Amino acid sequence: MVELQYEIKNGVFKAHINPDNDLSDISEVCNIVEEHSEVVLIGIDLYKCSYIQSKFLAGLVAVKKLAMVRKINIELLNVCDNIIQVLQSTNLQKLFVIKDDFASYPLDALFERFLDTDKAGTVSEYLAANYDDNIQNKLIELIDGGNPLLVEYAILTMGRAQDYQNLEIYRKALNANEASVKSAAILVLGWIGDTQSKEQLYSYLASKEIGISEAAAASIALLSDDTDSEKLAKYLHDSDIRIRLVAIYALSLINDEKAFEYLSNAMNEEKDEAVRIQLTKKIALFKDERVGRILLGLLDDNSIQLREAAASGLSRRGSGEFTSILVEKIGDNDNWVGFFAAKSLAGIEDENIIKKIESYYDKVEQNVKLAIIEVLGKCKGVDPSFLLSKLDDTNEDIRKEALNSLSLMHGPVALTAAIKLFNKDESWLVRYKAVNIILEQKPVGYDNLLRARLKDETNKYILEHIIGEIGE
Amino acid sequence: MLLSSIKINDQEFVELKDVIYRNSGIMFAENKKYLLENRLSKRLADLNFTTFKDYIYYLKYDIKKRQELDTLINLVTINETYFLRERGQLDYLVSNIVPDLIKAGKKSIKIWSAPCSTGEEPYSIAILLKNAGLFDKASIDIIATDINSEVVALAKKGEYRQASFRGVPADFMRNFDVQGQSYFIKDEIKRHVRFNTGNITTPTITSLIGKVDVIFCRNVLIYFDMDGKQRTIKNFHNMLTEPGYLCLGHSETLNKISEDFTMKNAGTCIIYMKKK
Amino acid sequence: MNVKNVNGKNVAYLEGEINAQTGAQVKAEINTLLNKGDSVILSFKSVVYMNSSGLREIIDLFKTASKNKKEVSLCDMNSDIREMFSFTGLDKVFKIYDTEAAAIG
Repeated sequence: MVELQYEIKNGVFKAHINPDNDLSDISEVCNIVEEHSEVVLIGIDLYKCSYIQSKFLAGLVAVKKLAMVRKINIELLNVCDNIIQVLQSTNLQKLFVIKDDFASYPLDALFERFLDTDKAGTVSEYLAANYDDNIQNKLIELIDGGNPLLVEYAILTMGRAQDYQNLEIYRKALNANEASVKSAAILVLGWIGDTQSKEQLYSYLASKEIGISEAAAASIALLSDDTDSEKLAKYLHDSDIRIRLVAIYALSLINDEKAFEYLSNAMNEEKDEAVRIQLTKKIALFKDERVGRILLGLLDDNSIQLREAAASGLSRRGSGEFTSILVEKIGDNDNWVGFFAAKSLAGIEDENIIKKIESYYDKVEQNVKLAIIEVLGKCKGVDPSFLLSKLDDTNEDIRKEALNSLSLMHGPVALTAAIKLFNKDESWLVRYKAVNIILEQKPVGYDNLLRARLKDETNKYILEHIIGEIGE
Repeated sequence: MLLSSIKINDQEFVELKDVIYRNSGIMFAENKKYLLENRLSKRLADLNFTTFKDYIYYLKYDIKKRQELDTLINLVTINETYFLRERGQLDYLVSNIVPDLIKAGKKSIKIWSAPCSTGEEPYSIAILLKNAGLFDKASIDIIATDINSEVVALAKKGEYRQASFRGVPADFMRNFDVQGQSYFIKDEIKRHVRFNTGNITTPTITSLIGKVDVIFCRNVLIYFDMDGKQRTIKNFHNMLTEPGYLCLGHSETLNKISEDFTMKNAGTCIIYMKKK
Repeated sequence: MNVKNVNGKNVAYLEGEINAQTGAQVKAEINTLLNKGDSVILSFKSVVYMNSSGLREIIDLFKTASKNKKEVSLCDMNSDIREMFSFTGLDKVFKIYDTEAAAIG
């Protein structure tokens, strides 16, 4: 019988389970946790296991119970799909948080994950955070090996680790055959500030290959000095729409006065709808005082998408001096303009304005109603009676949103409503929200309250959620 | 290259994954939350939304919601694949399964790739069968199905990039015409594969496709919950002729899902065979 | 810039606009902080605007910190600022958390 490998560091206990996951392994875990009161997180590493014994499974449940008594968290690490399937079929998956912990992987196994575009990013982050000479050498080997997928992520990893020693590798990769390698190099050169490469990046703005022009625009902006706004502005008149779009992106990132002038001029001259929409979204990122007025003007544009983009931009800036106009826009013919207009009014304290907002409620479409209820939860001095009346609405999202807004403005009132609704409401969305409010406020005896609900609750998400939080 | 920026919270995740589940059978587990964020952030930004809650309301209340639902399912059901992925099973098909079926007297053989994603798997099968001269020995149909209408359109187009060819031998490339950065599958291969859209977890798939002799369903069962897995395997069992071969991904098993297949260790790979 | 100690971690609350000047200021103050401590969390809760020069100062700050094995993480960004990080790919270089609570852990 092999001894259990484990370590405890900074209150985190990690046990590396042996391939045949004996019952003794998991009993040992319980013993260690019981002996060490400083443990605040239990990690059970199943990297070496390709299957799971039923006795071990029972032992896992025991550890979970122990963790709940101690009010500490437990995580299952590096769980293979086979074992996840067993957890699913025994209905135990909801008890555990499942994560990847790359510390258990040998380097070569990690590099294999570079080949999976969904997983490559997290592996790259991990390697960058734990960067050392060994990893650096292995990455150089990968780059010499020439497999473009591996090269791409090797370069990104080095860049994330701020590896300045390999500047020549990034510069050389600018001329690679594969688009993905080129864009990785372009991004990294921007991250590490290689101004020498900036000239070459301009030539990539016009590239037709996927991802290259966007990466070039981003890095030019990161490497910019006060001459670049003018250089980029020339591209605002290019006949190719894609080039105009990336130039807008780059200028919005440079985000200085010159860039603003160029973009607002372009707004007046540009005819293509897609480009105008982009301009609208990006102008909204500038601090200039004129932005609010420009966006306001665009609320009457011919293009629906542009109107919505303008309204959305205003909603993120706050209503400020345009409050009264925005209140009126709640009733706009385009219900998404109304939606964003309502959202822009967060933080209002004026009672009259609040009454005016509420007055629109009966005249607008469903999504705008929801935006009104949402924004009331973010205003000050709102009389809760309007929201309370919505708790009986026939629409489940209205009830849910009203409950949410109440919880933002008046905790005790929301709690009373939540305690009633989590048992009685016919919509699982509303019950779920009510459960969350109870969990947030944790009134005395809340766990018994929720546990009592388990026998009548039919919705699987709510059941999993309650059991995951307080056990069965 | 543009990476995820909008985070999904707990209530939003539960609501959205329910919508996806009811419309595709795919269940996004907690540890796959990041996939939704990665795949949908751009769509949210295009619609001017900064939260998933706004997007969910768009899905429920906008006049174009039916269309958006299709877009959503297409965005979240994209699965990464490449040519000759897990080739052990593909080789076994060509060296054992098909020859055995022919020897047993079958004149017409149907092979089903489901889901087929962007087509690398069914085209790989076609290329290997052609190289082995098997299209001349029997009438072999390759049918390829996916729930995602966009990837099916891409598969029909047959245009691929570098990423689809990781680890293929050099001579594999003679099945493609090159144009710039793109590789187009040659017509003589393309004509052996028939594409359609469909959902393998629903019983209607059985009447859409009919009887088949071999099924490739690799690296997708992990996205279904137990109920979805069982429904799918049950469909497969109904659709397979006898002997009936099922190929799953190398880390997948039918353990706890179905008792209706026997597992066969074929050396370089595992194959499941329909029990009578 | 306000600095608080929350649950044993240093949280620095950035304010207003992050450009070349304010960014350089932030960088100087955080570097000083990291001389005495091992890590710092930068809260963007009150940051309204940022441009590429400001981003560069933050990158520079991160560069120095990494060299000295100090940890810098960011939190509470609004969607526009987050988009700037994401456009440049920098959201995968930095540790970015949704909320201060998540950053503190």
